Amino acid sequence: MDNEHKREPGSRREFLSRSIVVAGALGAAHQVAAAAETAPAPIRLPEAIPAALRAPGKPAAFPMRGGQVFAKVCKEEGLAALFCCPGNYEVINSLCEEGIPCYGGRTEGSMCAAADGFIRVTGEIAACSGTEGPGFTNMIMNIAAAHAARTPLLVLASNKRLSEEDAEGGIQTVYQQPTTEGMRKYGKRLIDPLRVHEYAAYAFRQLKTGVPRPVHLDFPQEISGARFKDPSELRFFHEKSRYRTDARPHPDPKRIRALAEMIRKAQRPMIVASTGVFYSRAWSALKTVAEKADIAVCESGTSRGHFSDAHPLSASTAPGALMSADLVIFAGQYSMPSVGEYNFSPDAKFARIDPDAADIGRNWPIDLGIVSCEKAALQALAEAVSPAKRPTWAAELAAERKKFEDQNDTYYNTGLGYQDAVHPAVIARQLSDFLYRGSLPKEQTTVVSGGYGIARYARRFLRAYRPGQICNGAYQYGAIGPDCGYAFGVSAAVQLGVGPQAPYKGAPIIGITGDAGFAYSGMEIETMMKYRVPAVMIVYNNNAWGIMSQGKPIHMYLFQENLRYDKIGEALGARGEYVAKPEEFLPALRRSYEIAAKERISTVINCQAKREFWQGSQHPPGFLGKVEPGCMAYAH
Amino acid sequence: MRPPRTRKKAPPRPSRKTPVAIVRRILESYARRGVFRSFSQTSSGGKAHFRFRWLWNLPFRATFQGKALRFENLLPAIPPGSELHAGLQAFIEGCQSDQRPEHRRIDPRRLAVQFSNRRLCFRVVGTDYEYGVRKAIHLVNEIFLSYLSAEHPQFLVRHFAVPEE
Repeated sequence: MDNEHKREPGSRREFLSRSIVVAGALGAAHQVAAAAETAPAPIRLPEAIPAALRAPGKPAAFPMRGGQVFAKVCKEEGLAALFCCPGNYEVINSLCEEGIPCYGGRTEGSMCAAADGFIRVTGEIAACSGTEGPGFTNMIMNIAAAHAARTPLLVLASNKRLSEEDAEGGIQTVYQQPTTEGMRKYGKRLIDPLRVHEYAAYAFRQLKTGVPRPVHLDFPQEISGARFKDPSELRFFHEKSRYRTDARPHPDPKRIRALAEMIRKAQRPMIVASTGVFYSRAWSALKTVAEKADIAVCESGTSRGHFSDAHPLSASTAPGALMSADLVIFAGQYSMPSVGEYNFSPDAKFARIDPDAADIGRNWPIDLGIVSCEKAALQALAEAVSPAKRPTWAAELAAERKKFEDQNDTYYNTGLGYQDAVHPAVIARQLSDFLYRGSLPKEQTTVVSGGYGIARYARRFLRAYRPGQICNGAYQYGAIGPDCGYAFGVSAAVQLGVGPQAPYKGAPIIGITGDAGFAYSGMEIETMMKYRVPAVMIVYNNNAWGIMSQGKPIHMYLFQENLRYDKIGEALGARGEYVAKPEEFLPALRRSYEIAAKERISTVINCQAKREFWQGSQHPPGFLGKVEPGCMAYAH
Repeated sequence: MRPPRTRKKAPPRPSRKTPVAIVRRILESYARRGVFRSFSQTSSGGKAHFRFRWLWNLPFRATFQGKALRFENLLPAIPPGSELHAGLQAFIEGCQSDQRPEHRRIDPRRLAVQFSNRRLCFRVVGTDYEYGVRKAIHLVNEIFLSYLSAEHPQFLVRHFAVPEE
């Protein structure tokens, strides 16, 4: 404990004075610290961190411990990354030693979100880990979010000793598996050390087949610390082709022919390409079938870009065209809307392609169901469908895209009229211009689209031109707050160049969040700086929870005004930008991006808005509605 | 010689082609397809009353009499002269505009639409009841999903308990 903390607390004035000095000095971390008696030491990265990151892994060989056996399976299965906080030491250390990229952050919850974000933009499996009771329960909100998003997330946690079961020995005791009931695909408390390899196989069999969802394993110390001299001491020790298959369900040819016939008869067919299209990597098959028969494609799901917004058949930014579709094919729409939640005509016909027969027909009535891996079905459909040209349909899509852009322009011009604060339409539009209509290749930058009210604007202006370009933060579960966690995981994916991020390896990413959301995961700015995983985090600061329209009494919905999230960024070793006028936003964004690209330094841009922007009667256009599916979709 | 058998005349079946039968058949077809989640019809005072659950599983009620299909209390608490009222009128008029693609357009020569005092009334012009009912259902669908959801989400939150978030 340092002397500062040992001192008796003085007056409130003294306390505030000290706090201001500390915050101010930390904020100057990337400048020469002003000479002052009380100036603290500058923020710096201890050499131990880069040294540890440079150190080569030491893959385990027998004799091994249980954690090492488990880590070996993870390596074999291609686990792409681990995001964790200390705890579950045998397992996380072993994963690191196997050479799996590992990241240690500030809260288990945010690291869970980081793993989720990583998966959502790569399609690869990643893990999160935390210590037993508190570390594990800190992850809960984001495990639930991953569950709703159908993310193949491996959740790991240590969990005391079997010999202490029910004894409340020491601290941090909790029954983990009942806690994740209803928010996982599979879960298991490992109880037999001899079966550690077998249950690793259980985990990957679940993660790599069917509709993905989190898998949760908890490791008592007897399991992770068990010692094995050789493979004969393990009850189950097989190569992965022996315990699972890469085979995928293929569609019934009759049903594919029936769907091809429905397409032939339709005048305005549309495919809703959702989460399953991304995870099955079906984007090429999707493009082929769409182009062969002039089928419109509208995206939904946890990430965007598996069908480019620039394609003439894209309906993702043509919400006005959805009602015109007379045949809708849901492909990989795991989170199914009910009638009313998607904007389709009551006279349209509906088909659904899904690997899970038991889910087909849930919520939304269907005329045809096809049980299949999305990629296999779309490939078969591409073969079966008759070539067709539908120029009037393509023209309608183009007209509706233009109408949407025109409406966005109107919002932007209205937003520019507010000079006393930064309107969300200004942020969204100028960000969009910077990313897609400036000097950057429009496919380059991956974006985490988070926040609540700001998201209603940002989604309208963000575009996706290649798979995994947008991580749809609040998808389905609607958790407000994991955005900095998602951003860290997404940026790690881009720095590593994993999956569809490979061509953009090393590029900075953009994250968008609100002032309410920032409070949940803002500490991960420090993690971004620690690993030099750069992100430009745009914080929409309107001094309130987004849902304040319900605010009676209002004090529960408001914050102190003009809080400085940029200063928090600075205090955590990153840069801060303070933007209070519309014309300040774009220069701040340019500076931040340039420094992120050149020096791998993250920035928090505090965009000072005001809560009155959600009141459309006085501050049009106010809080925006939405139309799903398409670029505005986040419920399904 | 045996006397000729006299056949008893069966009571007349309601014609499948009467306006009310056509309206019922069309509405029922939405229920059969799962678009409506429930469906019932009752009659009183020469009117046919239809009830069904539809968008967001909300209850809807429509009444058919003569040539008119009415959705009573469909859009509550919209004061005449308000911005929402004017916007809604404009949206309804826009749905009859030549600017719309034909498949999305209501032809006023075949179906007249009137919005007033919470009620949306469709009057079939001519005899194409199927056209009239389908277009009426389309317009209600569009009012809720394309107009209110996109432009006035708070109205749906306040009056229909549609989740705000």
